[in-house]
Parts: sequence; C-alpha cells; structure tokens
Amino acid sequence: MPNKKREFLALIQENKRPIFKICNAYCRNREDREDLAQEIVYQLWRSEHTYDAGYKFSTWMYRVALNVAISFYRSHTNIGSMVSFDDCANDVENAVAEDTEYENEAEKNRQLLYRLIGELKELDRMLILLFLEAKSYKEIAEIAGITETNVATRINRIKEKLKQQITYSNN
Amino acid sequence: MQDDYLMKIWQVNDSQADHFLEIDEPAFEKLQHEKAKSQLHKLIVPKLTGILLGLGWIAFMILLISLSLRYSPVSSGKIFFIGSLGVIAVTTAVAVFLYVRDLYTIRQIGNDDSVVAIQHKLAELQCSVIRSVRIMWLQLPFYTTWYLNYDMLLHGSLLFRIVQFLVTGGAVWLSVWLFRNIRYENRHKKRVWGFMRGYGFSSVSRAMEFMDEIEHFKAQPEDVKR
Repeated sequence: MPNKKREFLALIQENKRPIFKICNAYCRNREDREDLAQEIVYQLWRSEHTYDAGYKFSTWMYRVALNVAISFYRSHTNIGSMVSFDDCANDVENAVAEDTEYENEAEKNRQLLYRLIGELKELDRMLILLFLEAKSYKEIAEIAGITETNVATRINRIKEKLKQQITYSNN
Repeated sequence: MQDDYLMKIWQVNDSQADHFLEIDEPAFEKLQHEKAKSQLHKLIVPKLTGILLGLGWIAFMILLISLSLRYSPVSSGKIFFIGSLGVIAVTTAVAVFLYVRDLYTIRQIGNDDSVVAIQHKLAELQCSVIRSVRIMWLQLPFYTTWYLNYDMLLHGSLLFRIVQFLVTGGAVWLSVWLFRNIRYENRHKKRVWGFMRGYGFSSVSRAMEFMDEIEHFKAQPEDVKR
C-alpha cells in the first residue's frame, strides 16, 4: 500500500501541470484553486481502480479532473462562497489595465486569455482547455463525450472568438 | 492570428506549476482523512436530511394512529383521522423511498465517465428532488380532513360545511395542479418555477438550466466546418 501511494504521488507530480491548468481555468482565487487541486488529487486516488490500462492515462485523468472541477465550480458558484469568476476576471482586467509596469506582453496576453476563457461556459471552457493542451480532437471527444465533428466545430468557433477578442484588446 | 499563438500564450509562465501541488506522503494521509470526513457531498446532505425528516414524520403519524386506536373509543371520526394520517404517512414513505434510491444512484456515480455523461447524471440527480416534492404535495388535502367526522359533515352548521368544502376543495385543486405541473418538462413555465423558487428550489432550477446547456452542447451545431 505505501508503495502504491508513493507511485500515485509520483504520477501526480508528473501530471501536476495539467491539474494546475484545470484549476486555473475553473477558479482564480488562490484558496479555491488549492482546494480544487486537493479535491482532484483525492478523487483521482479514489477512482484509481477504474483506470483501464488499455486506454491512455491522460484521457482518464482529464475525465476525472474535469468532472471534479466542473462540479466544484458549479457547487461553489451556487452557494456563492467562491469569489465568482466575474470578480476574478475583473481583478485580472483591472490589473491588466492599471499595471503600466507590465513589460511582458506575453504575460499580459496570458492574463487576457485566462479572463476570456473564464467568461466561457464551463463545457466550452473544457474544450478550449483541452485544445490548448494540444489534445487531439479524438481524445477531446472521448473526454467530453461528444462526437469529434462536434468538438471540431465548437473549438473552431471558440478559437475565432478568442482571437477576435485578443486582437481587439491589443489594438 | 494563428492557433499556435493561442497555444504559446497558454504556455507562458508555466513555471508557476512547479510550485503547485507539492504533496508528500504525510500531507496526502492528512488530505485523505479530511476528505473522507467531508465525503457527505452536497448532493447527499439534503437527501439524507430529507430521509431523516421523512422517517421522523412517518413515525409520528404511526404513533398518533396507534395511540388513537389504543385509547379512544371507536367512532366515525377515526376513519377520517386514521385515513388522513395513513395517506400522509404513505406518501411521505414514497418520497423517502425515492430519496433512498437517489442516494444509491449517487454512490454508483464515479468521475471516470465522459464529462457530459457525468455532469448530466449529477444535474439530473439534483433535479430528482422535484419527484419527491410532487408526491409530497399530494398529501396537502389530507391535512384539512384529519379532524372531521360524519357528524360534523351531516349535522354541522352550513357555514362550517361551506368553509370546509372550500378549504379542502382548494387544497385538492392546488395539490393536483402542482403534481401535474412540477416537472422537468415545465421548466420554462414561469408560473410553476416562480412558485418553486420562492420555496428555495433555485438550485434545482439552475441544475435544470445546466441540463439544457448539456443537451445543447451535445447537439451537433448546424454549420459544421473542420
């Protein structure tokens, strides 16, 4: 058992970047982000027996993590205890607007991208997050549970919207 | 702007991830302990509360019926009393059974199925409370009949009989109307959901909206382009 736990924690360390991205996409408040990360780790551990080695580990991990993140986001916004995404988005927006010392254009765009992603509905947010994580349409379809064509169409629309908004904000 | 550009922006400042989620074994043990304690998910707590309250109410009805049978003489009034309380107990039992079934379903849901499937199941479970609510409303008229007896109905004053008829008739109308209208298919009817929201069912309403969103999300957009 200790070995199993050690292996699991090592696996989490290897995959903490996607978990970090998911947490960032679904909550911007640091405390909530940490809460969500812990919840994801715990649920991954609990669901570990459902992993079928015949499939890609990342598909299974994203399914669990995104399900936990969406449920977490929905339950917290419902009870209103979490700083809402809009509030967070405003924080970021203000920071971007006021922060004249922002020398790093890329960092500014990153903040903007996060803000724009934060404005998407939770299911669209999942699609663009998986796309930006360079997942294939096939894998995204498996994670989301919709057809590949549907994934492609929706991602195209979201991308266009994001590009337009980024271009508009930068001009 | 190319897709690569969006991806590049997305990758910026990933170094923050290095300091994220640093969990060693003792910290993980602690996390497991804390999470196991808080396993009573938000979906479970309201249903468990409903089950406990329902069982308490059923026990109270049974107690009243048995006390009535044991200590008071047999009379025509007992038919109304026992009948009304009996119906209330039975409808409450049906609602409790539905809650217990939901709890069983919640335990069966993992997180490893596709996001759309799991989120749909969860939203559906959140909405399932309306099934129990519909059934509970059916008992409303019986709260207006438990104290009656034949004597009151046959020989009571005209005013009493008119008022009783209006009250019970109104309760029957309201309970049937709510039973027929409180359902997922009527989620867009303002009259029904305005009423439900007033009784603290806004989270159910939000779950229904999310179910609509999921249905829309699953549907193939018309202008497919790859």
